[in-house]
Amino acid sequence: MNNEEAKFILRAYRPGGEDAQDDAFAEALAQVRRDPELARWFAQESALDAAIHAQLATVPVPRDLKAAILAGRKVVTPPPWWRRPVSRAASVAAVFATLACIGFVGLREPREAAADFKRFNSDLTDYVGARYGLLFSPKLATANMGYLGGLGSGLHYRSASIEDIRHWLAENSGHGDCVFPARLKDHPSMGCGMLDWRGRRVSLVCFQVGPSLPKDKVYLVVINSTDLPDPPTNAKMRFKEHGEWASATWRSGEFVYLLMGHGDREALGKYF
Amino acid sequence: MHDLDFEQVVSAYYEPLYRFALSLSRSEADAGDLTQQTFYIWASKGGQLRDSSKVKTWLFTTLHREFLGSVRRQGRFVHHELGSVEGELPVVEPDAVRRLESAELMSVLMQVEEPYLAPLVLFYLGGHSYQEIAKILDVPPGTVMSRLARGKDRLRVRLTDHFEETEHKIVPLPKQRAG
Repeated sequence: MNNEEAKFILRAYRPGGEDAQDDAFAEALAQVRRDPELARWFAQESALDAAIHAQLATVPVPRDLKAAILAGRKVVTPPPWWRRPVSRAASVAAVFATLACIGFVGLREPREAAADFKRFNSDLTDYVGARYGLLFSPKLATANMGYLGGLGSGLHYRSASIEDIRHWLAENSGHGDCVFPARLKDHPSMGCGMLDWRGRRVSLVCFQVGPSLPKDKVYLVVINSTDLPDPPTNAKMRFKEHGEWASATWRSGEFVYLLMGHGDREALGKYF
Repeated sequence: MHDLDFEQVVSAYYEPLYRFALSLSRSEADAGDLTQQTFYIWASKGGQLRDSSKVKTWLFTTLHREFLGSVRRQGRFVHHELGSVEGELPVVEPDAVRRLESAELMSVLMQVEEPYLAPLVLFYLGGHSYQEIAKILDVPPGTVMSRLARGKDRLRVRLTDHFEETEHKIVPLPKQRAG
């Protein structure tokens, strides 16, 4: 191995020495010990790497990013127990437990009591608010939350055409046949996505209702009414105001809807 | 373990993940979204991971895939294959790097072109080995070594350019006449 080959390999060597035991570096490190010129180069290279590593480790991270990530956790639940990987012993134990209990509890997994309309409302408003830039929560609403306004990878599909959105939702087990508020359809859609809320599929569609982003975005969330134990019983709109934003919920046919946007109830009401 | 440790996993990795996302997307907004999306996927699927020592690689791999997916959807993925850096490489002193603001250094780093940028960022920011980088980026280990070597050359050139530009911006004040 000549010095040029050794340098090529050693440029992948981490400055903290974590790779000292990696065989791929053994020969090059041996060359360093033999050749003072190479040793000098390696010392300079490692010092520069260490300086760059240390400086980059202090690049500021948005103060509330962690809070936003933890808020997003609410929308995701672990897979049901029958889909989780289990050990052989646990499987056997589960079979015996099931047989023992079968006469008492029946075969059907009871619906999770907490996943009701109220929970749907609060979880989804928290999640969409934190993730998509509707800054409503006092805990999250700080000047440093501007980064949430960007859509980035947040939506699974982007299109300004509502027909494209419907098509994508239909193809992805979403709510492609939902009924959009009449005047919301006058605005271009920005995209859509699918969420997993406590094991239920939820569709999310984003509309751009003005020139100022992220403020001029409105989000529509749709869930099957059968996925809620207590869906609203009629089409009556329920508005809620939270400082600078508002939400509206209603039921139409087999779906329950949640609309969120900046402004008060009047601002939101103009989309119906 | 997965349920109990979600917050712990977030605490341990959200900062390096965000910095990795920032270097890839070059946008704070997109970096925040990518980081959140990664933990969203972790919350959904991370429980399938049995080996806790692989959490870090899993998260970085997922974030990188999400990034590639998002740029493909937006149709803005441009792959530049550039020639090697010509001429003798400039010397960059570690002290000069230490005098830079971290955000300034990050902006210089982000000037390095793909496919050299991602391996460099994982090396410097994530502290990953070349083998881990190979898994995250789904390329052979030899390719990672090659990209690290070339990427470091490019970073050195960018840093030197940056130092020269900064130097030229500092204009000494005219000397005051005595008396």
